[in-house]
Amino acid sequence: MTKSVSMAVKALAGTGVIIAAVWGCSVDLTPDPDPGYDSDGDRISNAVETNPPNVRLYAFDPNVPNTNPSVSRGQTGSPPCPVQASCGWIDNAINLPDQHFGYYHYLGTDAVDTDDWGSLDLINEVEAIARKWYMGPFACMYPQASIPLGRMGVGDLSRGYEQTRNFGGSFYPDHRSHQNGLDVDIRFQWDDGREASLNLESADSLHYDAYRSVALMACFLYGGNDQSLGDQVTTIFVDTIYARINTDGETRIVHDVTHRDHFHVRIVDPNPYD
Amino acid sequence: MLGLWIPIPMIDRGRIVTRSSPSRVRAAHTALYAPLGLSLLAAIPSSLAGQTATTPIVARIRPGAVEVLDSSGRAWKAVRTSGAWMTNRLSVSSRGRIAFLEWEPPIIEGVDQKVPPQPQLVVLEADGRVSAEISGGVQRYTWVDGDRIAVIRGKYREGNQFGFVPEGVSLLSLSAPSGARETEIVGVPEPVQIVFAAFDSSLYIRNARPIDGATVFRYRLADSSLRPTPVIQPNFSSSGRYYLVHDGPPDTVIVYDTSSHQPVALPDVQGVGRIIGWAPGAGDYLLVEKAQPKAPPKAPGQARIRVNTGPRTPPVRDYWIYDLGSRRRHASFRASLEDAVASSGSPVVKAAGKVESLKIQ
Repeated sequence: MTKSVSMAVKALAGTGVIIAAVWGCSVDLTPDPDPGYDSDGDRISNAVETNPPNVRLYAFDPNVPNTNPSVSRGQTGSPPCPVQASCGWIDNAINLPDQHFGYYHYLGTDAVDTDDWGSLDLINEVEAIARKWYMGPFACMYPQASIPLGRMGVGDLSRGYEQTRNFGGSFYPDHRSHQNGLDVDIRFQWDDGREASLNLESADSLHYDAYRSVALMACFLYGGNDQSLGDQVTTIFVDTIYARINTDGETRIVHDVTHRDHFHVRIVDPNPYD
Repeated sequence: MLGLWIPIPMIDRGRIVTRSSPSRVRAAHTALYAPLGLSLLAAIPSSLAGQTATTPIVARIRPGAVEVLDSSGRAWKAVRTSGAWMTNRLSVSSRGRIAFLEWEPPIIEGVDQKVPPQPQLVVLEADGRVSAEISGGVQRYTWVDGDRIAVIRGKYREGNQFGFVPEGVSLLSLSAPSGARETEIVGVPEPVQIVFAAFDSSLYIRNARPIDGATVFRYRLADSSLRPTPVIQPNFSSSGRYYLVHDGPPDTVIVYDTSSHQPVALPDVQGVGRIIGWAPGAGDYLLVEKAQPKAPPKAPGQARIRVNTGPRTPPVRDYWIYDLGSRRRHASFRASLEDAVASSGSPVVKAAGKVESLKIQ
């Protein structure tokens, strides 16, 4: 489905959601855009299994159950990782497809497929939240928000080089963390659905959509109607003043003035003792 | 003729040049003033004319403007208006010169920045006259004295923890009439922070990664020598006997002893207050915010973040000035901490409707 068609479908579905809300009905009218996203039920999506770097590295087959090859090693970066030390890495990292339902990956100044490697848990989290984001505010259980217009902008995960099979480690000069496939950067949302960088210190902030952006963070924290997704998230780093966030006692939101052009999501380490 | 632009000396990678073509920022500035028949000088608030560096100059950034506090402490006057995409990194030198970065917007192609935002360092005299506009990707800078600025150059990088990818560090002279006036400081390949330490007339430059175990380097102005130091982060007290380290959770600040490079135990502060930073004065004074009573964390599933629809004005809080020399509270006050800077280097506070920089007796 082309982007314009998908947006039109979403707009119609969104109208339905508004009507439903007016009539006191909280039924999510927007269907999952990719209900068969994992046709062999192995917790690795078809999109990931057919993504060329993953096919070349792991010979994934979307019709045959595959095992998760990725293991996060070491610490997440800061703290307790010493300042600027490289103390985390990933065995057999998974590459995030460059775009799929509900999200796109932006490169910054990085080369293609060098900044978007992660643990399978992180890749699954990004894909799952993006699908819910695509499905609208009821899927994210944040009905105060208007209908999502812009896809989720996904930035850096961890470093990786397919040729050398070297994944994670120091992400100099960009990050102290992002070392073992558990961290991901997400752009703030524009009020017109634009899919571009948005710096809250700049004039762009006039177009910052606090409701959509907070709804997206809430989707990560609470997972919409799937609390297990929300339980995956340990921390979101963001400048709460610039991003206009009332944390309401949510201790997983950490105010950080270095996060004014994105928010940073960290998930649970599935291998904390490795 | 009113509305004419005074040629501004430009320092461009080692030489001072006069710009001939207006930038987008300059064009926006001209568009603002030309219809009014005003020159840049005519836009200077008269209330600032009598201010000198002996009266601390207090400045702040507002959307599209840099403003200076008038002598009443109750009104702000714009000394620079522009259509810049972003203005940040404001400072006022001890002699009252105002400096800040003005940015041109990125050029977007697809979902990425084809050309990242471009900064220039703008320097104004205390009365608002432009004395220099320095291009070439200045990302960080520090005043050395009223005439010299040390700068770190680099490229903006979206999502980067420092906000840029560093390229080099150099020392600039603003008053030089012509010729090469930019001295490159070699030996710190990935500079991310630079400060001038008056107590030993040196620049301290922090590298992004350790080099042979050292992250902070000292550049002595007297003989241009560069040496590694055991300092962890270069944020010194007035005397240089202590420095602050931001590490751990974002609000965590630890005082280190410069002679031992070990943390200083401050039971009077830790747990009951939050260190904001230094309060320059005759001693080594810390500005400490009294800890706020916190609502207990909600049980999992009970909290729901939401949009803060309230005003973004700084909250009124209780603060102390803590004297590290005597290990005692030196003073306390209740005020709001303003998002502004002063030529005295002191924090800027607002109490009873009046804004001023802290004066520590």
